[in-house]
Amino acid sequence: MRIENYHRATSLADAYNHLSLNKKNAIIGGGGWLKLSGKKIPLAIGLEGLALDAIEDDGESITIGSMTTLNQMAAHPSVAELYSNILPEAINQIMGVALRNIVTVGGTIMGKYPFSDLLTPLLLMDVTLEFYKEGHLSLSDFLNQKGRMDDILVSLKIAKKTGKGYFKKVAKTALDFAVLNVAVISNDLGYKIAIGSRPSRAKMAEEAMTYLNNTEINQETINEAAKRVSQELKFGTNHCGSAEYKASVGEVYVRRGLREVSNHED
Amino acid sequence: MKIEFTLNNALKTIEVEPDEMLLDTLHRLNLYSVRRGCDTTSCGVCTVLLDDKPVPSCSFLSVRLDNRSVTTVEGIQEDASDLADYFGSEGADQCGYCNSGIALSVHAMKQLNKPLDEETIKHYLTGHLCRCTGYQSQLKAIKAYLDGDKHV
Amino acid sequence: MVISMSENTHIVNHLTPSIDGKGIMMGRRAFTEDFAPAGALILKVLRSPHAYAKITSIDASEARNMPGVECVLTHEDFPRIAHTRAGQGYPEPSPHDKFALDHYVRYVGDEVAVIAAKDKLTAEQAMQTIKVDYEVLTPVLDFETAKGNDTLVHQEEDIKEMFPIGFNPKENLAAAYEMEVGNVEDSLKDCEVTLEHSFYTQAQSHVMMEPHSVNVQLDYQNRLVIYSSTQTPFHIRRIIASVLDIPLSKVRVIKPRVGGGFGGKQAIHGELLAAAVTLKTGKASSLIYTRKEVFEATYTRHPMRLDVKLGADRDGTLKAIDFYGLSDTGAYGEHALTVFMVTGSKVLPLYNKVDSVRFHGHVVYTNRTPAGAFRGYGAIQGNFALETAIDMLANKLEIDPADFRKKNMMLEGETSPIFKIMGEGTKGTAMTMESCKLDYCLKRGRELTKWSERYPRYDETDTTVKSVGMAIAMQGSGIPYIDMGAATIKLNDDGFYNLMVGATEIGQGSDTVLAQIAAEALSTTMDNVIIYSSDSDLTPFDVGAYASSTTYVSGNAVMNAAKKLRVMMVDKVAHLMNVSTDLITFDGKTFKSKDETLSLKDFSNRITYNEHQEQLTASDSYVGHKSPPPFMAGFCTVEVDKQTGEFKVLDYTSVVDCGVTINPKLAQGQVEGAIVQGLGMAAYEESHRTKNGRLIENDMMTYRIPTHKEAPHLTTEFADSHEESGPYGAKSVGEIGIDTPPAALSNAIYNATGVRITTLPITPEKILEGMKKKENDL
Repeated sequence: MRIENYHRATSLADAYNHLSLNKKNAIIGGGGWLKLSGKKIPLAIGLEGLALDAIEDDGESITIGSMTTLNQMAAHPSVAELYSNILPEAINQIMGVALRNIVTVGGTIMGKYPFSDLLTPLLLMDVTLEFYKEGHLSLSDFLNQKGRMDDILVSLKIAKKTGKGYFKKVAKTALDFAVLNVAVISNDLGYKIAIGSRPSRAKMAEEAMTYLNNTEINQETINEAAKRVSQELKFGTNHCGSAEYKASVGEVYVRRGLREVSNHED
Repeated sequence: MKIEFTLNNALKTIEVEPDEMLLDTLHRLNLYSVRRGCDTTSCGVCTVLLDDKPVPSCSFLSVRLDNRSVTTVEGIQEDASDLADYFGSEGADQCGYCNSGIALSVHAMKQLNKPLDEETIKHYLTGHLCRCTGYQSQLKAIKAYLDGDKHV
Repeated sequence: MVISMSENTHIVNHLTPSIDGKGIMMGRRAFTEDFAPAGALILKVLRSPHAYAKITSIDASEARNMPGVECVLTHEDFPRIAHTRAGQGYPEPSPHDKFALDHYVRYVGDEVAVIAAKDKLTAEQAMQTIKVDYEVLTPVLDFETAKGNDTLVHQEEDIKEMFPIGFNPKENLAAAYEMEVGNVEDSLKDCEVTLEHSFYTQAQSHVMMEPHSVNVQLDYQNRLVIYSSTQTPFHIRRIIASVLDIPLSKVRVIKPRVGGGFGGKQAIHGELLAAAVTLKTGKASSLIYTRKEVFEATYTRHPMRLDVKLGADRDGTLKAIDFYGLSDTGAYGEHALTVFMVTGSKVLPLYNKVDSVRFHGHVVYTNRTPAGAFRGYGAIQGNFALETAIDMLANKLEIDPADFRKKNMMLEGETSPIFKIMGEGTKGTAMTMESCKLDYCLKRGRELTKWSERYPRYDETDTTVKSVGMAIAMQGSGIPYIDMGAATIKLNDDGFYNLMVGATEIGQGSDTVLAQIAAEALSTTMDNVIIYSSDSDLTPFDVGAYASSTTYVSGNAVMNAAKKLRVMMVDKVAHLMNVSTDLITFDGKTFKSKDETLSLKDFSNRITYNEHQEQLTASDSYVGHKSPPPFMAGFCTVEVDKQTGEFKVLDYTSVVDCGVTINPKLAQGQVEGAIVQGLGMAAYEESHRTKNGRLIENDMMTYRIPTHKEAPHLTTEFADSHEESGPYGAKSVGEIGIDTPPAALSNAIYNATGVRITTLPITPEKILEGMKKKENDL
């Protein structure tokens, strides 16, 4: 990786102008894994001077600035309140403390990383992204968008809702990438389930969710829903494990998650 | 690019390349305690404190140091010496290559100024790999140090 | 020297913090990189992208002409001098099959050229411009089809073995070995119950925290001075001198602090190319491997397949063991024969009362990263196979596996015919187990882990189950009649001592332990003995840190040298006081005769400055006549999730007989560190190659070693044991800890789930697959 020039943006407009000068110019988030990318960047733009690391709770939603580090996000009491502490639970299993002190939530979202542990539970929530030029876009729409976003992510807004959450990261060691990660939440609208790092990126199991949200919740329907999730979502074989193994384990943890958030535990 | 930052409580002005990492800058400043282990943020060996928080120096851009503070082991000599006593009494003192990063993380834990149980300490130390000790002696030493256990 | 069992020691076997822990924690200059001279040329190595290829042309002219580039060396710049990179005694038991740079490349990562430039960026840019034409050849990547394969990894004629080791490159064999006691085929026929199974172990990487590092300079006597992160400074000196064709007297090797070795630095890494650059340019050079190079282009553990046959009678008497081994030494044969022999020699004697035992097999070349020395050195692979097979046999006989071991294992006062037959590359040395507390270790381990209540499993629910599993192990203490360690100790004014040893501190605490031994022998305190180690000019010879030799071999040399000095001092004082020697007593601080007292401090000052001036110095060299094995029993307690196959090692209990622990806490540290490293091999560490032979997990992000969270609770105890031939009763403890975890875990998993995993690593997927298969079979 090489950076030819670095510019500390003086405003969002200034950042955007510099970004537009060259297709290869880039906004740097935390920059934690920038070195591993092998890219050649004519101009790297830093947003550290723009105070984009604030977290605000207005009672209806939590707005998190894109330059907020993962540790800052995990430590905020409003974030912890959401769905039984599911977001800090996911964040605190990402690598070690030191990396989480520089990686930003903006970098995580813009990177659309398939192995991300944070995207999986975020996907289940009502999350709106605010871009400098393009304005508002839901997280799921953004993740489904093809191609690159030549824009600046300013913040994300999570609608506050009461509900329970469950997160499980299956991994070989505590610093490893997930073999898969499972997130389950329940709120007044019903249940939502997503699995990420399949190895593909986090995806909601829409059909299984539809089944579950239209039936009586009991041990049998939970088991059935979990089975449907493992059949609906695609898993791939790689050196972390075979597709069959991931599907089996995914099913187990979805089942356990549903039991926990629905209070139908053994 | 010219940057001005505080290094171990002293103001420093230095020219850095746009893609220079903090570890290389600190090496240029002859800070021997900062070591390189993996270069991929996976081992914790290169950990330094940035504004009192542990960060992986191998992957932090020096251009972002302006007006910030960096602490290395050279800046916490007394704490490092005390911690070494605790390591010594648990037999956690083996090759020592991972020690600098750990000493700084432990220093950051100490600044939290609250009792930490073993699980919490383990959580903070997870990013620090060690191939020599098997971890238990290190954990015991660090807990005793943070507890101010005089039984050394 | 005979030490009485009842000797009370003041420093040996007492809590003693390391002498260097504080300085290192405080960030003092210590490691190799810290000593690179300012302005040293930065070296980068161009490495092969192909697993097997011939270099048909190489054009480095653009690189050589680049401003800031001092020199570029290719195979065209080196005379062909075959050697081995293995750090072993000369003549080495490893084939001389390596050239400094060659026109063949034999694995992805093999060296093609070295570039020396003013900084890293220039070296990297220059490297990009080097044009290499490769004739790509079909590589041999599967070790099970390597022997007799049409493709030969080593076609060249000018390579050789130093003495017969079964070297046959036309069959892709780096080495071969066989030995038999009795007749195994006949014994097996007579056995009431037999068991046959194959076991596979993987290419584990050392992952020491400090990457391989070296820097070289010419001093003002125009001698090469090499600072290297190495385990074998003296072997490095010899090999570098021979390959560069210069006298050994022109080479000095200094080993600074080493950030971990575990065998991975028991061979040449960057020293040869860096020395060549410095010789050519006259300038200092520095070569620090990237972590990627450490994974791809240093060494790994030898992956092996072990085909085991066991035979016993129904009453549980083990009668026959047959061990066939196929070991993969990769592209070059460093440590090929010796690791392979230890797979048998430091495992099979555990069951010394069998009627017959056979150990045989082959070590093959393949086009992968060379395998080399790695803690355990074959014993961990052999232990996994044997100790898992023993459990399988015990299960078949419906006997508690711990009881089965108790009935058949080695006891104090016994011997095994294998000791006489199998050395390390050569003939062995017969020895009786003067100290062997294996029976105590087994008994105590069972107590500590509540084996009788818990075996085979306990606390079973619908979703989880806990279990216990065990294994026993042995290792060695140096290589008899081959490993030599020496020590020199001198008395300074002010009454303190300098202890010079060749022995190599690599983080295992040898500097501290050896200083303790000297302090004990001189009845003085630790701060009064200043130790300096591993400088080929200033310290006497030592083979280096391997084969668990330092405490036993180097320690004996230190003890003897210190005792000699003590005698010399007493003699001198007697002379000064004009009395007979036997009238002088010395308590470490003061010499006393009937009428006079003289402090050590005053004595040393007087004989340095005032009268009968003499520099009192004593030396000793030690070579072992035996290699008394340390023993241990390892017990693994594990919890398994029956629905996902995931498991957590809750506790690992080790009861170790290493003789007397010179430093109890550092000994415990050696065992515990080795246990977790062994668990890494058992459960977490794994790498794969693409079909073109490229290593996929080549950084610490993808090659996972245990973290704090995987480390189990560790219970470590030492048996009350004393080895007469060891310094103050010590044997060794550096390697023994690593051997048992793979078998103990495999056995525990079987006890929990009925699933037997015989290919490492043991993973949740393999367990779940096994459990599903059992369900389907039912």
